[in-house]
Parts: sequence; structure tokens; C-alpha cells
Amino acid sequence: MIAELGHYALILALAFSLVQSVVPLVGVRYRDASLMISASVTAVIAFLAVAFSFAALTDAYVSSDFSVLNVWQNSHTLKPTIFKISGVWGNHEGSMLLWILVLSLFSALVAIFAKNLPGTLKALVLVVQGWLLSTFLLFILLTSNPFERLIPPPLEGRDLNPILQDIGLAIHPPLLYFGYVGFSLTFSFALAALISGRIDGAWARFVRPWALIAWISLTVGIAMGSYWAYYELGWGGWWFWDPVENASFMPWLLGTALIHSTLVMEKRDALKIWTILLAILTFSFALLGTFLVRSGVLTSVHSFASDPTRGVFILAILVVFIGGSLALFALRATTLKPGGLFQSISREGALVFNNLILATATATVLVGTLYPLVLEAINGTKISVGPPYFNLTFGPLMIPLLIAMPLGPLMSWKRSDLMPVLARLYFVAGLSLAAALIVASMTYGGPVLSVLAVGLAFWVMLGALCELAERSGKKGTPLKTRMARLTGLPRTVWGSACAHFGVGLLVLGIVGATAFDEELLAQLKPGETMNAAGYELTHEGLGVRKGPNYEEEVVRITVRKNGELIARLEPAKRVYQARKSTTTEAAIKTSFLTQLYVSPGETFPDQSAVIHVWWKPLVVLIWFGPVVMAIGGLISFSDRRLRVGVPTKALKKGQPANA
Amino acid sequence: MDFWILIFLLTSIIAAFLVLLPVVGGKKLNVEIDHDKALYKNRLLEIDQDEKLGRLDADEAEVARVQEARKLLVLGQTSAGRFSPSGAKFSHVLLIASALFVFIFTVGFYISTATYSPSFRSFVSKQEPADLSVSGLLRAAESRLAMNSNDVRGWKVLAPIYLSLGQPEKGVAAFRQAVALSDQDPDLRAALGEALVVLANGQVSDEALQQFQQVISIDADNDLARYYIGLASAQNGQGDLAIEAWQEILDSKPENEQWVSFLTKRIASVEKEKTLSLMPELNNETVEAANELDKSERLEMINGMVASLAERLSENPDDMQGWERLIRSYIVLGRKSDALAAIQNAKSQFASRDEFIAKLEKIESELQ
Repeated sequence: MIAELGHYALILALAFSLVQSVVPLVGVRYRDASLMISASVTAVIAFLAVAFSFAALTDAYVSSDFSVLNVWQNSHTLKPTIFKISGVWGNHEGSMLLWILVLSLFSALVAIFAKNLPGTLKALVLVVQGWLLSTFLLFILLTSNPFERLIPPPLEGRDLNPILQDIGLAIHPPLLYFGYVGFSLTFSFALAALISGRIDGAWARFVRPWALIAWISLTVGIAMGSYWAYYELGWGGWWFWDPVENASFMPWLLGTALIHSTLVMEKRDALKIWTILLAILTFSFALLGTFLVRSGVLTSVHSFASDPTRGVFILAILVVFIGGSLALFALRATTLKPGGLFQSISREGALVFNNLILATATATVLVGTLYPLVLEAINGTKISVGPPYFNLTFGPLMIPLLIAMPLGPLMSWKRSDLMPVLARLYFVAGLSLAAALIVASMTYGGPVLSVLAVGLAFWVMLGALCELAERSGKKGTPLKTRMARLTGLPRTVWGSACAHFGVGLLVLGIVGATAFDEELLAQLKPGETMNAAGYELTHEGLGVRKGPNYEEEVVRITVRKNGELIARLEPAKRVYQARKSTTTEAAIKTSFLTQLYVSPGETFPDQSAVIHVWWKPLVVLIWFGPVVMAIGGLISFSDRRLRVGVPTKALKKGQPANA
Repeated sequence: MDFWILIFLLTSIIAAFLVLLPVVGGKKLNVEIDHDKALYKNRLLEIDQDEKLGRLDADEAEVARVQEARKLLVLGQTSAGRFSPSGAKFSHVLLIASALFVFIFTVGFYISTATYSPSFRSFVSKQEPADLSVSGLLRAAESRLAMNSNDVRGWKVLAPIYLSLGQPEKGVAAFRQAVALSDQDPDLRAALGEALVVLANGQVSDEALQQFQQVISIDADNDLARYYIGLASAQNGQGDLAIEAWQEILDSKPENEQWVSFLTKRIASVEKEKTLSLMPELNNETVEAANELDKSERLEMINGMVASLAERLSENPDDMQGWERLIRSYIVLGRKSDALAAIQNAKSQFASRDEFIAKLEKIESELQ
């Protein structure tokens, strides 16, 4: 009965979001306040209905109600409760329901909390959200109903795919969806601006926090996905340039560009039209990601073609929303008043540079992701575009971006000179060079490019600190004043410095883990010891352990350094009974930023086991860097005040500045 | 039925919010122009504050102030006035229409798409003249159970219906549900076992055998379980064990005369006609049917069954007992070449099972 109610609630939500798609629009047209305010009412009711529906499905999972087809397909009575819950979104129907839940949540948040939003803007934003919500509700109701019944119900379910039975994957999709769907709001704001033909600094001010929430979630979500792949897939890789990863990475790249360009718009009223386009494109890529992952087109173009209902539906959504919004953009962009002017060497110029590179990088990732699909569709060849392509295209693009990163924040708005900015960074450049040299001497004969990359990482990190130091005062300012000024700095300044520092950490982690790692493979009998990266690993024997819904064969390993015991590791191979499938559970010993990664291989009747060991220096930074970036985003998010850009240089010459 | 009335009531109450809240809220809506002015005024205040804190010097602050003031001025010029006060008739009509739309759309959409939903079907069927056909009754039972899946009696009633309609998968699932809910009722479990046998085309599968043995452990006198355990022996080529088991049932003097005569016949047929015990697909009806046929017809029937067993094994070759039965059937039917071919197949399938291979080789040498 609860399942029927859940289904019914979805239809109710659809009815309300259809009203939300039309009625407030009439309200805006005829300037009627109650029609406009109805958008907030429908948004909240639709959210409550979807939330009820989601709760109903969750209840079916938790109580293992196998009379619901979806539960039977993806759950099992022996599964720990946490994975019963995460199983809700571990499948197509449930994950679409989560998508819709987040979408309606964002609409409701705007409806309830955006009290300062101008009435028409708020109504129009909710109208566009209504379009999105109704489309996706129709999609789920017509092609992917999660409440389909199975009568009579089987006694036992088919269990969730074991590699998804992991705490990382329990949290990863919700975060990712918060990111994806969060950008739906910037999209709605962009369309609202195009429809009303009004856009000003206030618009950017309202968009920025939502874009930041989305960006923060996406950043953490992607990092978490990467860490999950690292420890769960059992071969020490942390990024595979896999289409599913790219699908989340592309909106992230454009979203990063977006939070930078809204900064220009917020402070200088410039780059308006570009920002609108970027907001549209960012969400378009989120939609594209949803299409790639959800239509089945990635598994095989042909399987997509043979059962196309869902895929074609999402494709239609893509065409209508991306095509429609771009068409609206083409029609209306010219009517928007372009904002402030600036010279190419200026803070704005640096941010444009950032945007151009990020957009180009997105394009290279897009090509690498779609090319194999297009090729397969045309002549049936299955190829995969692997890391070499991305390392050769995406990698070099990042170098100028990283070089420019410390320069931008030091430039003044409107017009600036490169030389004084560079002069302020001599010290940073010197220190980075020193860091690179130290690394070079430590790894003499090692890869040269990596040493340069280390220098670049320090350049970015120290550059971020330098910005803070510069803002605290000129040379000779007493420490006390500096401290006072630092604490008084706008939080956005702290936020951006923190996020940029995080990027430096990430680069350092990537270089450490890929250029200076060590890998060793050995077959050990019990009692035998292998040496890897200065550690002695001893095979202490095999064992069998029983979990709630799996059994695992454990290889017991002790790790010693200079004879001293520092860790007992138990990498394992798990067999999940319901699906008869195995997963690899790597064992990881973290010492500060470096990890020793041990993955179990085949075992033999004489109790010997193949052991695969990686030593990955600084690898922790690969995930800690994004966390620091996200913290920067949070700090920036907490700064609600709109800062004013003042063209200092123009002022000193006594010229009035024109906005 | 009452449940759905409740739902429709709730829907209409929720839809009513759509009219009430906007009408009340519309009177308090922020007017857009004022808001923008407030925003720029806020900025001016911030500039003052920055100047006080020393983040901007006097000149800088002045320039910034001029900028904001200019924006305020522009806003004043383009002011497009205020919103029309809410309460206009037209908006009320539109909101009421929306609420009606919500109600009609939700109910209509549900009726048109939820046809698969048993619970909804039950609602519809109450509205229509009762459907007394088997499928109609089945639907009614299904919908009752969807609403209350803990109803043992319902599952008990439904399961045999599925079996008689030739849907053994559903029958098995329904019996399982009933057994799980019934707290180890041995009769139900025996019925589940029987359903499993039907599902396996008359074969007493391992799982079915387990069920029957579980029944016996609770209720040692359960005739049905004892019969099928005997049948399992017969199907394994242990006809003597089968006869022994069945004889025991007869000795306990069951009251049901049909049951006595059926068992007597079965014992006789196992004793006299070994071919029957080799029949690959055996259940009560086929046994009875076979008993009533003349010899040529019976042979034809058996040939058909052997063919279907061979087919099943080619699809699902991982069945040691099945292969053995097939080979023996071929031998009894005098189809030597087929028997030899089947032996080769079975050998390659179970190359690692030495015991089985030895058995096969023994049969092979007897044949040649």
C-alpha cells in the first residue's frame, strides 16, 4: 500500500509542477502577485510529495518488501541496513528518483529561503524549475517507475551489485546529484534573466551562492568517487578518464568557470552575457552526464539502440532543454545590456583567461568522451580513448592555468600592469624553484617534468598565501596591523586563497603519486617476506571471514620498517553469495600523506598468495586537495555581502571611474 | 475502497492550498523595485563601513559611492511601477482552475497508468460489475494481497490457483510466502514441495526434497511428503526404496480411497514396468494418463518426454541425474546409438567427476 501511495505522490508532484510551469508565468505577464507567489506554494508541495515518494521507496527497501520489483532486483534481507538504504539509489529508477528529489529540494529552498529575491525573478526561476521537474517526473513515471509491483513476491532479493555495497558509494551519488542538480538553479536563473530581459549585478549576487553550493558538492562528490575507485577496484588507480567520471568532471570544469565569471559580474557588472551562456552550458553538461550514465549508451551503443525508450526520452530532454535554452539565448542575449568594460590585463582579464582555458579543457574532455560513442554508432568499432589522449590534451592546458592562478587575484579590477604583479611574486617564484630543486636532488635521475610540476604546485600554493600576505599590508606594516587586516578581509578572499591552495595540494598529490610511486608484485608463501619501498611485508597466512552477506578470504600481512612492526594489513577477496560475484578489498596503510596500498591476488593450495603492493607518496593530497578546495568554497559561501570593486589605479590618476 | 476515498480527499485538500496560500500571500509580496533600491542602499552602507575600517581610503570610497548612487538613479528612472494589487478576479479564477486541474490530472493519470497496480485494479473492479471469471477472481485476490501481504490465507488460496492456471513460478512464490508467514505449517510446506515438483516438470528437485524432509522432521506421518520422497527415490533409479516408502503409507491405512488406489497403482507400475520409473517427467496427472494409454501410445508419450529431457539437458547440461536418466531411458527404449552419444556428452560435461565417469563407463561397456 505504501508503494501505491509513493507512486501516487509522484503523480501529484507532477500535477503541481505542471501548474508551476505555467501559472506564475501568467502572473509575471500580468503583474499579478498571487499568481507569482503560487510558484512558491507549488514548489514546496511538489517537494513534499516527492520526498514522501522517496521515503516510501526507502521504506520498501528497509523492510525488504520484495513485492516491489525494484527492491527485489536490488536488495537482499541479509544486507546491512545502511546498504539497504543506499540501495535505493544504487539502481536506475531509484537514482532518477533521487535526482528528482534533489531538484525539487532546490526549488523548495529557493521558494522558502530566497526571501530577498525580486518577485518576478523568483517566479521565473521557479517556472523554469517547474519545467525541469515536470519533464523528469514524466520521464520516471512513463519509463522508470520504481514502484512497479511483483506479485507474488519472491522471498529473497537479488542483492545489490557488491561493488556498490560500500560506504563511499552510499554517499557519493547524493553529493554528485547535489552538484549536478544544483546547477539547474543557475540554469533557471539564466533563463529567467533571458525571459525577463533584465540582468544586473544583483542577479550574479543571487546566483553565486547556489552555484557555490553545487560546485562544493560536485567537488567533494567527485573526490569521493575517485577515492572509492582507488580502494575498491583494487589496482591503485584514482582517476581513469572513464566516461562516467568525465560525465561528472565536465560540469565541474564549467561550474568552476561559472563561479569565477559570476565573480566578475557581481563585482564589476561585466561579462554578463558570457556568464548567462556559461550557466546554461554548465547545466547542459550536467544533463549530458545524466544522459550518458542513465541511457545505457555507454555500455553499448547497440544495446541503447535496441531498447531505446529511456535513452530516447532523455535524449529528447537534452535536445529540448539545451536546444531551447540556447535558442532563447540567441534570441534574447542581444537585448541584454552589456556591462562594464575592462582592459585585457586586469583582474577581469585574468578571469576571462581562466574561463577560456576551462571551457577549452571541457571541450577536450567532451571530444574524448563522445568520440568512441560516435565511432561505434557509425561503423561499430569499439575503441576506448584512454589516459594518453587526456594526458596529452588536458594536461598541457592546465599548465598556463596554473601559472596564471597566483597572478589573477593580485591584479586590480578594470586595468592593471603585469610587471608590478610579477614583482610581488618574485619571492614566490624563487621559493617554488627551490622546492623543485630540492625534489630534483632527492630524486636525482628521476623524471624531469615531474620536478617542474612540483615547482608549479608550490607556485600555486605559495601564490595563494602571497595574496593573503599582500592584502594584509605593504612592506613594513607592523605585524599587529597585518593580523587585524587579515581577520578583517572579506571571506571571499580567504575562500579563493584556500581553494587555490587546494589546487596546489592536488597537483602535488598527482605528481607524487604518479611520478614517484613504486609498484611491486610477488608470490609469497606463509612466512616469506618481501621488501617494497623500504618496508618489509610478511605473509602471515590466509584466513576466512564471514560477513553479513559475504565471505572473504583474507591474506594476513604484517608490515615492518627496520624490523619494527608498524601495521597489520588484511587485504581480502570477498564473495557475495546472492550474486556469486567477487570484490577486492585492498588494505591501505596511511602514514601522513603517503599510502602503502596492498591488493590481494590469486591464492594457491600451498597457502601462498600473490600480493600486489604500491607505495604512493603524497597520494592523500589527491583527495585532501579537493577537500581544501571545497572548504574554500564554503568560506566563500559564508560571505553573504556583496563586495564593491574599486579601480584603485584609475583613482590615483584622479579620473572618475565609469561603471 | 475507503483507502482511495481518503486519497481523493487528501488530494483535494492539498489542491485547495494552491488557491488559499497565494491569495493570502499575494497581499504581502515584496515589490520588486523597492528591493533593488534596498540592495544598492545596502552597498552604500557597506562602503561607509569599509571606509571606517580602513579598507578603503576616502577617495576610493567616494568613487565607489558615486558608482552605487548612479545605479540607484538609473533604477529610479526606469521604475516600471508597482504590481497590481492582488485580489483581481482573474487570478482567483485561474488559481481555482489550477486546483481543479491538479485533482483531475492526478486521478486521471493514476487511473490510466496504474492499470498494472493490483491495488488500484481492486478499486476499479469495485466500481464495475464483479468479474467472476477465473482471471477476474485472481486479480481480485492479487489486489487484496498487494494491500495486505501478510495474509496467509490469501496466499494459501491463491497458490493452487496459479498452479492450476499453469503458472508454477507464481504458485511456488505464493506458497513460499504462505510458508514464511505460517510459522512452519507442515501441510503448507508439503504443498510448496509439490509445487516445486510441478515447476521442475515432475522432477523432485533437491530443493523440493529438502522441503519434504523438513516436513517429515516435524510431522513424520505426512503422506504427501512421504510419497514424494519415495518418488525422488524412484526417479534416482532406486525403485525398491520408492516401493518401500509407498508401502509404508499404505500400511498406515490412509482413509482416502482414491489415494490408496493411486498408491497401489504406482507401486504396481514401478514394479512391473521399469520404463515408467525412467520416465523423465513424472507427475500425478502424467502417471495417471500413462496408465490409461495403450502400449503404442504410451511409447509415443515416453519418447516425447525423453526428447524434452534431452532438450532441457542441451540447454542446461549441469544436471548429473538428468544425464543418467536420459541414458537409461535410451537403453530401455532400445536406442543404443543415442545412449552412446549421450554418454559421450555426459562424460565431457563432467570430466572431473571420476565417480560419475566410472559409472558411465560401466554402462558403456555393458552396452557394447
